[in-house]
Amino acid sequence: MRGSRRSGLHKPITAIFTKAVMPEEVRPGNVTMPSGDVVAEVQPKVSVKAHDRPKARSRQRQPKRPAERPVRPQVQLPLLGPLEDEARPSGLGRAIRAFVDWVRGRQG
Amino acid sequence: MEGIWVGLVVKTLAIANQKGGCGKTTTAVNLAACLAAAGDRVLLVDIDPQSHATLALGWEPSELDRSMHDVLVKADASIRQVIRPYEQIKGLDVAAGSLLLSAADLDLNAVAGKESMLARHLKQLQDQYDLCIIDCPAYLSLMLVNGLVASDYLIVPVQTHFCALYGLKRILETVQVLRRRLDSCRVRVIGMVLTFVEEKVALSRQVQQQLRDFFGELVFQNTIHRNIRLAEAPSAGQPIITFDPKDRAAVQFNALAVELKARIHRLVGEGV
Repeated sequence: MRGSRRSGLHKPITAIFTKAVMPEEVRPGNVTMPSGDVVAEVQPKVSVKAHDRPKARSRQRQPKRPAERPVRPQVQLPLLGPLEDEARPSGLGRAIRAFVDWVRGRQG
Repeated sequence: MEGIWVGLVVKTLAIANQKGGCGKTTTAVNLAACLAAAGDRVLLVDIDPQSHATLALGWEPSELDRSMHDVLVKADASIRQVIRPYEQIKGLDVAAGSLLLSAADLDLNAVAGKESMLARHLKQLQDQYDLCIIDCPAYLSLMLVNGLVASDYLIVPVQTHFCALYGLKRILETVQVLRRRLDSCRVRVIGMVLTFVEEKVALSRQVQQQLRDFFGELVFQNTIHRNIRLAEAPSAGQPIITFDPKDRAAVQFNALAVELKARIHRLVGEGV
């Protein structure tokens, strides 16, 4: 949710009334009423023209981007082979076991 | 102001906006009081089930034996039977409302010409009043339709807040649809009254300015500011001009009444 601290109207009145169905004595000279069936006119869709929209502030905040972190070298772990005699351990257990085997292999 | 109605037939004025709480009843009661105090014969007709116009002038709607509901629903009832004089202002009469009006849509469902019931009753009073002011309900209902069909002119009170603009849009749409669909509907929008105006509030200033820019002279020059005395007056059963004649709101409503009369006079002169 984005709030606003700007006071006042956030939608211009022209956006509400420009395409509204209105009696002729109310309609300003430069506003034309939508044509078609009366019932359809009762709830016209209102589109906000670009020049009617609230203007963006000149000083807009830029979203902060996190500083790029240095990339650490990744250690490649050997894949775990199928177990035969033992019960199949959990994922963490398999990873630990694979790591231990890999260390032993380097020592051996 | 005296004499401005000379030669004119009685005019009927609806006060409506399809948003609640925007000052319809306050505008109806106080305009009626100001015009009557200035020498006109004014009938205030309360067709809002809330009946706050009746309440604001000192009557308890639930304690009245007859109301506009009887007039509209009972075939043998006459509007003359429910008209009561407001003792404090000579020339001001009230046709009281009732909570029962909320059931009028159902009561009149099968009645032919149900949208013109009020208009037919008001025709009986042509020679008795200079102006009839109708306080309409906020929601789209048979009572609102009756109020608009019975009226020559419509005033839309507009609170200077965002949501009130949509109430204004809705009532303008309703007027246009009724005029196209009902030959008997000839109501014309005579103007918008800005209410709850607060000059120190940006939103209020912007709504006011943008409405004037968009609708031009249709927006009355005289506005009604947010005012606690206006809210207190109904508790005393009085309009602001008797409750506190020197208050700013009394001055504003008097000025609005003068502007309204001038506007009606101009339109009648133009044959509208």
